[in-house]
Amino acid sequence: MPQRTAVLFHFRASLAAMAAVLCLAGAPPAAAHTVERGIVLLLPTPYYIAGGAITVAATFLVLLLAPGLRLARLFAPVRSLPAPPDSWRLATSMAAFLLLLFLLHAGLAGTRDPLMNPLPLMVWTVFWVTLPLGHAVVGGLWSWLNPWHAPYRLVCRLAGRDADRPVLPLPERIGCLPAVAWMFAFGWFELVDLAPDDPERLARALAFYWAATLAGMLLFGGQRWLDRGECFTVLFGFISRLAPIGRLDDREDERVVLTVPGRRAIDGPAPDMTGVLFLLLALATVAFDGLNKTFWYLDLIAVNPLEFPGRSAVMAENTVGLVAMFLAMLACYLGAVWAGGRIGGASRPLADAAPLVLSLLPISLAFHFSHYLTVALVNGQYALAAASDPLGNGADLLGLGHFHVTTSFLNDLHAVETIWNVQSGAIVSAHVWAVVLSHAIALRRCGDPRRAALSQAPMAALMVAYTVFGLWLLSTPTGL
Amino acid sequence: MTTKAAKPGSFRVNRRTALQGMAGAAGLMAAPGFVRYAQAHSGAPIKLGVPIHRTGIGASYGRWYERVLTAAVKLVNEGGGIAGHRVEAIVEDDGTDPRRGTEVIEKFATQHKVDAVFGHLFSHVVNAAAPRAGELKMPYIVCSEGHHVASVKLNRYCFQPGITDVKSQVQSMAPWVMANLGKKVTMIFPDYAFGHDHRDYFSAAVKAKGGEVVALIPIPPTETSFTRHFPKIPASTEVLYHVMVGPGVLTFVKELGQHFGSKRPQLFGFVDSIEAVDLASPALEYLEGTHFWEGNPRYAQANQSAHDKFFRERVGVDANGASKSDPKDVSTYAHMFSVWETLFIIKQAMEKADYHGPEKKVAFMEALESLKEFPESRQHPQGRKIFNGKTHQVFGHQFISKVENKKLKVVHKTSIEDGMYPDEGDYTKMSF
Repeated sequence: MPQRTAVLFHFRASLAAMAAVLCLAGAPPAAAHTVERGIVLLLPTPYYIAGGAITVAATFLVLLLAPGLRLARLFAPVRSLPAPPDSWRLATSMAAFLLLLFLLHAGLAGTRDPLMNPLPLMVWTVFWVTLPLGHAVVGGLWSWLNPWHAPYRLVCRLAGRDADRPVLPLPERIGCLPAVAWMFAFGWFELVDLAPDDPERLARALAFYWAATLAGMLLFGGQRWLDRGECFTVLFGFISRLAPIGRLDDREDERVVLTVPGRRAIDGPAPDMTGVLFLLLALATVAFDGLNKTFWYLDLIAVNPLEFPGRSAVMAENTVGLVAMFLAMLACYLGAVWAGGRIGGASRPLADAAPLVLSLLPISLAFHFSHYLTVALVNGQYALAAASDPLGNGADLLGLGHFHVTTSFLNDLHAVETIWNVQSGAIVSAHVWAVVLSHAIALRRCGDPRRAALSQAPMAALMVAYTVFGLWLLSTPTGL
Repeated sequence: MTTKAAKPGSFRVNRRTALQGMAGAAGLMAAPGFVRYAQAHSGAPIKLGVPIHRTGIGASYGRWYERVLTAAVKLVNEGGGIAGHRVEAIVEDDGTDPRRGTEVIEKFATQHKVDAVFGHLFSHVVNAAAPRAGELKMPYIVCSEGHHVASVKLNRYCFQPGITDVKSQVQSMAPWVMANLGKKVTMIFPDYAFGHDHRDYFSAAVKAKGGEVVALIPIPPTETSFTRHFPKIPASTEVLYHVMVGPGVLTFVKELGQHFGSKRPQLFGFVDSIEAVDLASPALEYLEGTHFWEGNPRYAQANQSAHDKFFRERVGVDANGASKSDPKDVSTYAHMFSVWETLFIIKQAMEKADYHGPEKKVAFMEALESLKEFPESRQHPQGRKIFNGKTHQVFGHQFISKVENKKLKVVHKTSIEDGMYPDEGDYTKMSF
């Protein structure tokens, strides 16, 4: 989390000066109506937070006392499923590419209103909010839907070159660092950039990313670059390992299987340290997306939460904040792994950092779900309206008739209570799941169940703390 | 959304709403000022840039401003457009951000080449964008209710003809509050510019009317529990003036109820605290019997004008100020009429200037400065207004409403003169 630094004090002074100028010039009207959070403030959220922390801690204690081998057996059963022919990927990828072209056109030439233009709605609501959740349910959708696979094959065929032969070798040791860099760029664009919703700006950014990725594929080999440099392939690849459906990721076994959710996070190859960086950055990005709106954070960067001055006034602070969030989470995670390693008597206490990071996947997923739930409920309506009239010519393809977006459910006690229960339920369940996964991974790494369980105590403590943090983020007052 | 743009930002009549629109347009065309141009559109369209807070802190207002804009543009076009030209409203999102707001003004001027810009709401965005509008010689007509235009500290291109400013609103409350609720006032307000405006303007007005402000209680903006501040309210307080905003409002009201119970002073607030909030929300029951300023009555009153009825019908708002498509979706009714009225004022001034293209921008603004009065009408459903061409600011009626059965019932309509104050300068002495 961001700390008070000299740099921030400097920003504080400049903001105070700016605020003084604005005060002289005139007062703004009332702040935005964060009614939903106002209702949440009336709910007994401290009890929820305490209950969530106790539940996660109790899960760890149960695992400590229960025979570990039973848990291992829980994750054992698999059932083979028929797999669709791989050649279909060409068709689905080409369809996705054509959709991308249409969306880019809409972004450049369609309405300027980001809540009517299909591009921002498709990117920020349909793609970014729902697709990660889809991967946790049905696995590797992105390998079918990414807009590069088919165009890349086409380009290779036209150029008469082997699609799998790179022009340049990609050094093994850089792992997925290119994807880490792109993930940071994506997070920065989403959370810090002045106008990520602006259709034209988004279209240009998206076109650049698409072209850069295609160039990477042509230089370093198609699948190799996607696995190392395309941040969504890496992210969705991780999340897919939670899904009950998917490949075993075993070189000798190409079956598509039905498993207990999370089984494939335990089995299969462990990520390397760059994978650890990637996953923690992804988690930090979503967490910062909540933190940066809280009264606590806005007060920290000397911004009055009731008159948020706009993104342009906090770009430097939010850049520092995003990086600080990532570093803080990395430090907490490595600290917990190191302490666990010491308790377990490991000669290299950080050796398990890479395999254990997969236990954070459920948390990442739950943060994503809970944080974006209300966004999905509101902007999903705008997306529906845009889908009904994608060309902006008054069409009503979905038969919506007179359709006005509503936010009244954020204004209603029962609806807000239901949303809060779903969000907090997801956060607590995910942390319980994470404790179980981390325990199961430790069991695989260390044959002795008791030692494995004890070595997870620091990680369990981290999970409890993170549960509290997640629920606090959803219940604390926000200024936006 | 019922309408969509065919090309960047342009508005087209949607066949789903065309019939409803034609009926309304027929009525409007029968009104004064519409006969002359009730004909087919001709020539190039008149392009109006509309920066709307679609994202950022002003988004809840922006959602309704866009709805009102869509309805108003549609109605204008059905009535023949402006001076026979079809109106194209080009919406850009400014993210409720000053820098973005300024960029958007530049886009309107250089990329979209609009005839005028209107609709900006939040004052920090207005203050940043206004100088750039002046540099680009772009008519910039705001719907902000800030005092910035009337303070004559902006430039000649800036106008606020569609909504009164906060100074006028606050000072016009004092006579009735003094006469009916009490003369000893304690003010509780958020400790920043918005609250300070209320503190300064109302304190001065109370003093002028022979009342007394017995205590000023500023609340830090990050406060989420208010109980520690309530003991500072003097026992002699007859009226507690409150203007809390943000997510803590419901908690504020709940804790106020816990502190005072049934033995409370009179409560008077600004509807800004609960704008777009259902009065049936939890904790708000304590507001029963208390009074609020309203810029435009959210609930249709027993003596509702035909103009207000027409406005609600066209925007799709019911008698409770909520969306007809969702009775729980409460609008920003106290403020959003400003978008509607401003568009009709632009139309009136352009037609007076015989405006057919950008070469007549100065004539358009001079015509706007020459307007004196806007009678209550379908174009001005909130009520009659008097425009001050020197300060570019409009003055109008305000409403004081009492919460009865979880609805706001108007108990007093101020005179326009209640909200007037001496000019603070003269824009007409500045050059274009």
